[in-house]
Amino acid sequence: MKDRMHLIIGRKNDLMTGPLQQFLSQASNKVRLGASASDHTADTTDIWFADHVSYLVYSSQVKGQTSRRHVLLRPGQEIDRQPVNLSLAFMLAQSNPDIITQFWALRSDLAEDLSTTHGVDVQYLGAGPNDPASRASLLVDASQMTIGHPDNPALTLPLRKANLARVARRYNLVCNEVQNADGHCVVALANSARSNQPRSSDRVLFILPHGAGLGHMSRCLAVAHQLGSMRCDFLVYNAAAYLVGAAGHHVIHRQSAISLNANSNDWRAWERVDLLHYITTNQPSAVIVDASNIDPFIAETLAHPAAVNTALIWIRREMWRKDRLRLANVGALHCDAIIIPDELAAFHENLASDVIATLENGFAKVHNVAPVTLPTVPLSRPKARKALGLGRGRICLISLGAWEDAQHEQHIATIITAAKKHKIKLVSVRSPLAGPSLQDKIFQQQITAYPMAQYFAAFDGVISTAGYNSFHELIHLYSGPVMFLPVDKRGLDDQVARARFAAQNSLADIIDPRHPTQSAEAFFLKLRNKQTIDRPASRENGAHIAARAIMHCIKTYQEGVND
Amino acid sequence: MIEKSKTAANLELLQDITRERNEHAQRLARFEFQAMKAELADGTAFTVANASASGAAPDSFSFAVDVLGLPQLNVPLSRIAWHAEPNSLPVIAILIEIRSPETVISLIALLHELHATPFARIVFITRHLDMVPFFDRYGFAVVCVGASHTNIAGPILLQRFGVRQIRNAKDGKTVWFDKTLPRTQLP
Repeated sequence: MKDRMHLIIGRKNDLMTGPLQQFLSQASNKVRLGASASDHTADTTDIWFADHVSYLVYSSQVKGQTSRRHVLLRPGQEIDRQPVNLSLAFMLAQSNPDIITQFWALRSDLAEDLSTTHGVDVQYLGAGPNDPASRASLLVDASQMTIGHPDNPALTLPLRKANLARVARRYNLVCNEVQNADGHCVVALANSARSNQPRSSDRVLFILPHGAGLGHMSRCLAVAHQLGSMRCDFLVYNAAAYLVGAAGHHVIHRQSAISLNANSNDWRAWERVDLLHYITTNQPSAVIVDASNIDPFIAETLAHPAAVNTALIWIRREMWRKDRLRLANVGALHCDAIIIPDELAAFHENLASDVIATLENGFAKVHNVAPVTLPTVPLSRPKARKALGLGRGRICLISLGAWEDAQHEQHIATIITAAKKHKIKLVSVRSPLAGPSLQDKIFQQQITAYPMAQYFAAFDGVISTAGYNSFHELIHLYSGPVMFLPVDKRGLDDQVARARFAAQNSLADIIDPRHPTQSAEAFFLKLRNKQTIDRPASRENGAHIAARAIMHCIKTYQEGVND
Repeated sequence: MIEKSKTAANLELLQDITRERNEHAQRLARFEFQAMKAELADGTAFTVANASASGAAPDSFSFAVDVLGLPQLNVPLSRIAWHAEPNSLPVIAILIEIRSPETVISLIALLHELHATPFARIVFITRHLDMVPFFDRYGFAVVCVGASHTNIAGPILLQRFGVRQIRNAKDGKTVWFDKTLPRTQLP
């Protein structure tokens, strides 16, 4: 079957199309999945109809008389072979003798029976050897379109829009319906098609969402930095994509449906086309998503048979606000691995552990890694001040991110008054995403810099929101006084919990909304006294552990091994 | 009779709300336009957070070509202009080839025109990624094409956004147009 172009035409949501595409890919890389006869192109040599219904509906519409037709004769969901007998008889009566049509059965006994009964060559599409001993099993219910864990009935997930061939890379699939002969055939083909997969390239694609902050970007840049010789491309929906380009990576910048005010279904349709185009062109070993969920367009693209050699990995920050948890349970089913960067505050008050337990991991391999921060080379105080254009005296950095939080406004006036009283200069850092704001006129000086951690030595104290990156960089990389102004009402992560954890463990202050003046006074007094805070050094940067987890996932996925 | 009066009152209330909303939208557009113009005028529009990031550009224009059957995506009017029916406006693309003072002057004039009399929905085409945040934060569609020729970018933007022509920001000259459209129909 070398040098042939196969087109598969199947019914929507037919579980057979994924395993069939994978099976054909072992003989030839040139396999496309069509939705209808119109997907036939001049270079198509073989058209595969995934069942007799597809053949009856579409075969007469397919142009190109030279393409060889292949029809899968499937036993249906009953043991009784009468339906497939009738279908074959009907197809033979309707067939055009000028077009070569090959019939295939997925069981050898069925192929023999049909050949004898109808006097036509029905070949056995042989499911190859299966090696169930080395991997855990999952139960497939082809009728209900679900897949479940044999030991945990609660872990049952819908199979709609999934690709069985992907799941069979890491699990042995078992059809749990005794009577469903077709389900057994589909599962057998999926299991057998996992070996001898074509290898993907030494390239991965990171996908970064549209967002107000830079946390996703910083984490992924940190992990990409540790991936060594692997080429890292980035598909970025954040406007600050130039920062990724500056780090030396190939960047594809796109705007989100929100930015374009576009219909989300239309937008997803275009994103699916482009992502599939990228995957088929570049054959990345993995798509790595750092986002609060796996957008449906990503899941649907990766479920496409043409993307079956690409693993899907989710970097998922924890400590979600409880009222936003429902958003997190999207997409885990499609993932081959989930990497969870630790939260320093997660060990506090059982607060985050409640949250983490609620999140769904599907059948993915979960890797917990140390907090991930962007590695930087810290500048000395004189060099950092010179680089930022700062003068002498006591200087406090104020970093409020891209959001102008109405909650902060009332506290900022208090902070400015207290800073003046203690003769401390306030310098605000503008987010790379933000334009001019009212803050520009409020603070004595404004700077723009990324990543900020390398300039920490320039400052005698820092006032900051408590996003993942800011929080962990300040706790692990900074020794001066810190006061957190957590964002409470917006965003997905629980900034208040992080800040409270830091305050209760004397790692930082948190502004007390009931007594903001006292909070600010106490904080600036620490700056005046050049106080340093003894904070725990990071046991390690989780970026290199995350990189190892990614490489491990790619290896096991490509080899079809379940660990 | 009482029912009719209630209906009339409700209608009047809705009309008041719509009028107020439109007035607020126009005021907001004025505010946003002034902010955008100020950024261009004082030279901070394309300031980057990392000096080494200036000039970062994609290797190529990574879009699938010859895509058929998908609906065109909306191109927003932006936050610096207001129009009762923005979707009735044509879509054009403006290519920013270089970041010269002349380009900035032309851009200010173009944006002033757009704000005063919205005439089109604009897709800004840039060569460098560091120009993206500026246009993005004022609600424009923006596409970074790297070094790709407009003959490649044009047909793709036509399929996706309905872009019928690309003009150079510096001098307004048409650098690409949809050849299926009669020249007489070009605005």
